[in-house]
Amino acid sequence: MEKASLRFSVSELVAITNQVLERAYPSVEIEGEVAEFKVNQNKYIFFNLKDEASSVGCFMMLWQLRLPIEDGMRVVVTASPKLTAWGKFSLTVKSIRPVGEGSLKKSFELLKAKLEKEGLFAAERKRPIPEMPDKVGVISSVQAAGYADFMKIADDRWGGVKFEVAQVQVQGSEAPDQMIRALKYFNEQAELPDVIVIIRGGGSADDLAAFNDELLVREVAGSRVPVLAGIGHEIDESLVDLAADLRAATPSNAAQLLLPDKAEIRRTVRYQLGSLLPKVERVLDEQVAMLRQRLGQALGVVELAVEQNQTELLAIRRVLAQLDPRQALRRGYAIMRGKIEPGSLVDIELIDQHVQAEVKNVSKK
Amino acid sequence: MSAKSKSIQDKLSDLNQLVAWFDSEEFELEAALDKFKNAEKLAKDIEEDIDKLRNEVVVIKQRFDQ
Repeated sequence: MEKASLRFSVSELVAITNQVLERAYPSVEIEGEVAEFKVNQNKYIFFNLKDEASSVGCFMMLWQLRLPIEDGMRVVVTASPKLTAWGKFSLTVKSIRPVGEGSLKKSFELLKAKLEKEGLFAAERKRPIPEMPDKVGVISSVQAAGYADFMKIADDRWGGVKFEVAQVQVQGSEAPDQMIRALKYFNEQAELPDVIVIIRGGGSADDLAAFNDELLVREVAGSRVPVLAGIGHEIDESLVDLAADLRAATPSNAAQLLLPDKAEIRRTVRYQLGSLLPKVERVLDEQVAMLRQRLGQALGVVELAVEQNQTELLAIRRVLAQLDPRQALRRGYAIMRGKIEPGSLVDIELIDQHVQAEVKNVSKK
Repeated sequence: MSAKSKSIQDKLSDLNQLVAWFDSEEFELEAALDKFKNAEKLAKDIEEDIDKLRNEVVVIKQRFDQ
């Protein structure tokens, strides 16, 4: 006996099909190439996802688009398969991300140009990173090698810092939203950290694609707290790097840029101290030399004065010598002592004789 | 900035000022010995402070995956 077929209305069939699909494939990832990408009413996105043999229609909301997408790009969509009321099979897309070097690069360049035009990467937006931060917000995966490198170098270089670590995924479709939440968390703290550091070690372009998410890049650019990015290797450039206040080449380099080096400070302090004594010695030498010079000058002045005095003394001696009465006696003159009047006796002194004589007569010349 | 870090930064700043004084026109031989002693003490304190510093790491309990 033939088993009776189930009978549904069209709407019931659509509803049951959707229930089956939802149970079997609540969320699937599908990789394919984008075709006929279009945005309707600045709200809705429609495109086809295709490979060599098949094509399937996709629908998503514009606000869910985190990266620029163009026809020809290879992408992975996270979606729920659905049958529409019009009997058309479609994928309701929750997220879409480019895969493969070419598509990632194309998407990166498109978004970079857009955000650059808005000024998000402008040098004048960059704020300085505090010299000796006290509190640092770290956004990273604590299991990642990059995080371990960062913390090791941080411990080697400096201490006294409180690192608050927001454990997030740093790759995959969930990563951008987790990092955005972590950025919001730090920016909403009553006591803000001095700096937020985003850390992720090296990886493929696909691994690092999370750091080119438009909303994440905007959150970094809009952060109240300065952001230091230490993502990937030196050659990797992400849009988060460009939007951050400071970009480190690697996680280790981020620790170097963030913290002073205690060994370097020790060396500097010792050098500074060591440089002081030679300075004092130099000044002492200069002052001694100056004193010697002054003493020499003073001695010269004294010698000159003595010489002048001696010359003056000599001149005085010469004058005194000329005034000596004996000089006159030697020249034949005589000194007469006594009353000059007729009849009186006077004493006459010659150079080698004394003569007594009587005054005979006195008359005017 | 923590009290410890601030203290180190202040001390470094003080030391820099002292070193600059030795090169400045304000330098006086009579004051140099005291200034040098101050610099020596500052340098010692800075090194001791640096040796004592330890980082603290706290993984935030809040989940960011939801």
